[in-house]
Amino acid sequence: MHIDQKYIHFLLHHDQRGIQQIYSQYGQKVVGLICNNSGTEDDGYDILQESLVDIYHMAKDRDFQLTTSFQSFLFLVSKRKWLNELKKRQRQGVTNADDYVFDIEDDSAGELEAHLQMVEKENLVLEVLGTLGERCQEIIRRCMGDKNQEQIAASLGVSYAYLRKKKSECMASLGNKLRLHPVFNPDSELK
Amino acid sequence: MKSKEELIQDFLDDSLTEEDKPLFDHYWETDADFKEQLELQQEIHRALENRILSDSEGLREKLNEVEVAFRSGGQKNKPIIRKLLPILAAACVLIGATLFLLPGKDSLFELPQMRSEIVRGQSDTNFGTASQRYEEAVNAFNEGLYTQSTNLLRDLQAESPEILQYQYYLGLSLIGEKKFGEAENQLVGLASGESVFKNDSMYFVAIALYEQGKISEALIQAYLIPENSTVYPQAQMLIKELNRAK
Repeated sequence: MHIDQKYIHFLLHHDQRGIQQIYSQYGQKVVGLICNNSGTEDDGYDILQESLVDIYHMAKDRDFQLTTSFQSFLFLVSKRKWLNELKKRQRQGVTNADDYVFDIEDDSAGELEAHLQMVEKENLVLEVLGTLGERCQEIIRRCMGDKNQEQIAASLGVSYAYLRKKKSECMASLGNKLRLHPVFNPDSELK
Repeated sequence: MKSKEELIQDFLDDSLTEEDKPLFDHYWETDADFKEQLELQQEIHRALENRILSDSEGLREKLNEVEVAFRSGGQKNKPIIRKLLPILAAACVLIGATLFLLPGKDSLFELPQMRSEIVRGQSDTNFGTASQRYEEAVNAFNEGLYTQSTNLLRDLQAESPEILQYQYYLGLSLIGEKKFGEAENQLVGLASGESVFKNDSMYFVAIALYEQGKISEALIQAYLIPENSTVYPQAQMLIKELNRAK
């Protein structure tokens, strides 16, 4: 286990002092990384926070072990997030991501690659969920959070059969949207 | 008959019925698209369960708190004199306030400026007229023309007795006219009420009582003024003055 595993512990336990340590040791570096690659200071802090949340989600997997320094891993996660953000902005016509080259070597994530990909997929699922109708979002969130779907149906004022049918339609819609994304379907191209 | 999507969700929710199992198995064995859909839905289920059941909101709150403190803590690299400057400035203001703003003896009996503002609760039909007359009362009061302000405020109070602001300033205006007994009558109800005028009324009741020679009663009123009131410093000075007068 790497000595920096303690930072993972801080995130898992929402340890305020530990999180302060992370910010004071690595905050400016991550923000600097983003600013040196066409981001603003606000972009830098957003990426830092989202990266720490991603690391938290990875760390909840019992198999997760930090095998490199926390700084290297945080930089890797932050860089990938920023590159994805630049690509998104490129699709929106805001910028040209290909023009930007990070000045840090893109070290292979190695053993942590699987965790990184898992978190990226989860982030995408939530993002696409947010594009569904309000009713679908509510049904999906509640059904995932509570296994007693008869109770959920009653609280929504619908029959259990209706809820099951509606949920399957919403999940199919979510699936169809995700199938169009390269993260879930490498053969597809995002327009 | 259930759709493929419904069968997939039933399977993932572990609620596939015995009746539906043969159809599910048939699709699984013969339909490549069905298999693909099922695998995708399995990934989606895992992702949603991981995220919806996680406590990342709690972490985000902590991260936000730390970020705010971190971003505002940029002073740590400034020279010490620059760090001390705000403290020194505050100290100067405090000393200035102590020397110049705490009440001297004469200010104990000074009446405050009457506020020029729209009085709430005025009915629409009388609004314009009452507002104008109130403004006239404000001007007269602030110029020390207390007889004039008293007359205007009496009329306004008679028309709208529920507006305590009229009652309060009428009491002060009567003090200005040196009609201390009448002023006491106007203000004593406010002093024992729960309006925003309570503490200030207590203070001016004490003044009215003092001016009538009722020193002990004035002292009681002054002692009752709470510490968190804006007139507390004046009340403490008045108490000293009243004790000297006893």
